[in-house]
Amino acid sequence: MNQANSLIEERLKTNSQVVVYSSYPLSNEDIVEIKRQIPALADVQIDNQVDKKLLAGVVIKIGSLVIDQSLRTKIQKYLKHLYE
Amino acid sequence: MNNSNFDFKKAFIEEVGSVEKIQDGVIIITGLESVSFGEIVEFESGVAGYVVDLTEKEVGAIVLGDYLSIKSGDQVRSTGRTVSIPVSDQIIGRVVDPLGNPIDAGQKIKLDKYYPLEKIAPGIVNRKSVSMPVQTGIKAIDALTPIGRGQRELILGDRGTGKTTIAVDTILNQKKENMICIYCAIGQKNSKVAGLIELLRKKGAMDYTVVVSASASDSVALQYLAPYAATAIGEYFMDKGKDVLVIYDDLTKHAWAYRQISLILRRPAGREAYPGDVFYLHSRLLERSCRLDQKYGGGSLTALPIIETLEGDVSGYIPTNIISITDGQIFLETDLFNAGVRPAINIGISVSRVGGNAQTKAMKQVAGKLKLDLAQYRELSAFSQFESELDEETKKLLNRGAKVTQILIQKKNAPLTLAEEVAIIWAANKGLLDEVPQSSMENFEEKYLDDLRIRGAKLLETINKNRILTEKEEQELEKFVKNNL
Repeated sequence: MNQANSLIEERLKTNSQVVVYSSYPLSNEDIVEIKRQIPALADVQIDNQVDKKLLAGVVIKIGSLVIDQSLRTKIQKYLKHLYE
Repeated sequence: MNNSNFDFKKAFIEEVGSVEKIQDGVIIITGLESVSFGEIVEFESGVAGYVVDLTEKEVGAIVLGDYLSIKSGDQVRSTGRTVSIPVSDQIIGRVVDPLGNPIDAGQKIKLDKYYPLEKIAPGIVNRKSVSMPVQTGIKAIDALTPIGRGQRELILGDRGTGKTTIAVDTILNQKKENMICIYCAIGQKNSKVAGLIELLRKKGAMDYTVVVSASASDSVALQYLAPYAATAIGEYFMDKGKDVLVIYDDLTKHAWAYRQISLILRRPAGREAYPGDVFYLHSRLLERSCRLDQKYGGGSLTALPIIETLEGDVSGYIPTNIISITDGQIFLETDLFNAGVRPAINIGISVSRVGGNAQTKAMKQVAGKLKLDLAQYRELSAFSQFESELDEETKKLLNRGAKVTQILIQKKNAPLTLAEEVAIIWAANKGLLDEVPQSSMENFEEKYLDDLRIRGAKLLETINKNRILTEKEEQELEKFVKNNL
C-alpha cells in the first residue's frame, strides 16, 4: 500500500476528524474513489469543504497531518524548483 | 473528474501547524504533532525555524532569519530535515553566516556535502593523544603553555586585554603550518569583525581561513548556532585528514544567547539565570575537538574558545564551566596589560594540560630553564620589596627574572617562527642578556632577530627543520648575541 495510507492509519488512532478540501463539492462517487485509494479511510466519516484556491485535486487533513494532492501546491513546487 | 486527482502515491505529505505566539526570535507553534527535536520547520514567508522545545501541546522553534515577517496564525510546515551547513573546499577564504550563506558580497558557494551542525563527538577508539604542536608564534604561549593539535585551550580575560589579538596572531602564524583556520564571531560588533577580516586579508591569511559570523544584530538563534556551524565546517576538513584550528570568539555571548532562548521558553533558570543545561551546551561543543587516529584519516580539530571575565573573576559560572571542560587556559590580566606586559599572560594560573607532550624538542630545551627562572623571580620579587639589602645571589636572580619577563613581551600581529623564539629565549636563559640594561632590551631583541634573519638565515632554517638545538647551533647563536650586544 502507499505511504499515505499507513500514515493516515497511524494518525486515526488519536484523531478521528477527517476533512477533505476540494475545489468543488465532492460527489458520492468521488468519495468512494478516495476510500478505494486509501483503505484506512473506509470506515471514517469524511467532512468535505470547498476551497476554490486549490484549483483542482484534493487535500486531506487529519489533525496536523496534511496529504496534499492539489494543483495549487504542485504549481508552487514547480515554481520554486524553477527559481532555484 | 480525472482519477489521477485521487492518486495519492505522488501526493505531498506534510505536517502543518500554525503560529500561536511570537516572542523575540522564539515562535510557539500549535499542531505539528509528529515533529522531532532539532528539525527544521518552514514558515509561510519562507523563513526557516529550528525546533528546540517540545511540550505536550506546543512546539517552540527559534527563527533562523527575519522573524518580523512572521505573523500570528501563519502556517508552519515541517521539512523532515535537521539543521546542516553546506560545505566544500570553496568555503576557504569566505565569510559566511551560521547557515552557510555568504555574507561577503561574493558568489554563491558550490556545495560538496551537507554537514550537520549537531553531531556526536568522535568516540574513544577514533582518537589519538595530542602529539603535534600548534605554533602560535607567541613566545610566552609556545614556551610556557604550549598548545597541541587537537587540544582545547581556553583564552580568558577582561575586556580589552588582548584575547582576540592572541587568537588572530595564531591564525597569522599558520601560513606555512598546513592548517585551516576558522574564526567564529558570536555576538561581536560588525565593525570589529570587518576590521579583523581586513587585517587577515592584508596579511594573506584569508587564503586558509574561514570566518563564520553571527553579529550582535543577528537573531539569537543564529548566535546560538554559530559555534556549532564553525565546528561542522571544521569537521568537514578534519574528515579529509587536515588539521583545523577553530576560534570561538566568544562563548560568554554564546551562553547569553542560549540564556535568552531558554528564558523565553520558560525553562527553569539556575545560577545567574542560566538554564540547567548550559554546561552541556559547551561541553558537547568542545568535546568535538580531537585528534583522529591515523586509521580514521589522522585529521585534528584544535579549539581556542574565548571567554570574557568581569573584573578578573575566574570563579564566575561560565568561566569555571569552560575551564573544567578545556585542556588548559591562558589567563590575561588588566594590570599586566597596563604595565606594558603584552601579551598580558598571567603565567601563574595559565596552564596547558596536554600540550607539553606536543612541544618540539628545541622548545623543550629552553622552556624548562625559563619556567624555573620565572618561578624563582615571582617568589623573590614579592619578598624582596621588604628587604633593603639583598645578597648578590638574590640580586642576580631578580635581574635574570626581569630580563626573562622582558623577552616574553611581544608586539601584536608579529608572530615569530620557532627558531626565532628559541634563539631569543636561549639567549636569556644562558644569562647572556644579564648585562643589558632593561631599557635597551627591546632594541637588542629587534637588532638580534634582524641580524639572524639576514646573516643567520641558514641557522634559523636548520633549527626550524630539525626542531632541535645542538651544541654547534648554540655556539653560532652565542656569536650572534655577542655581535649585537
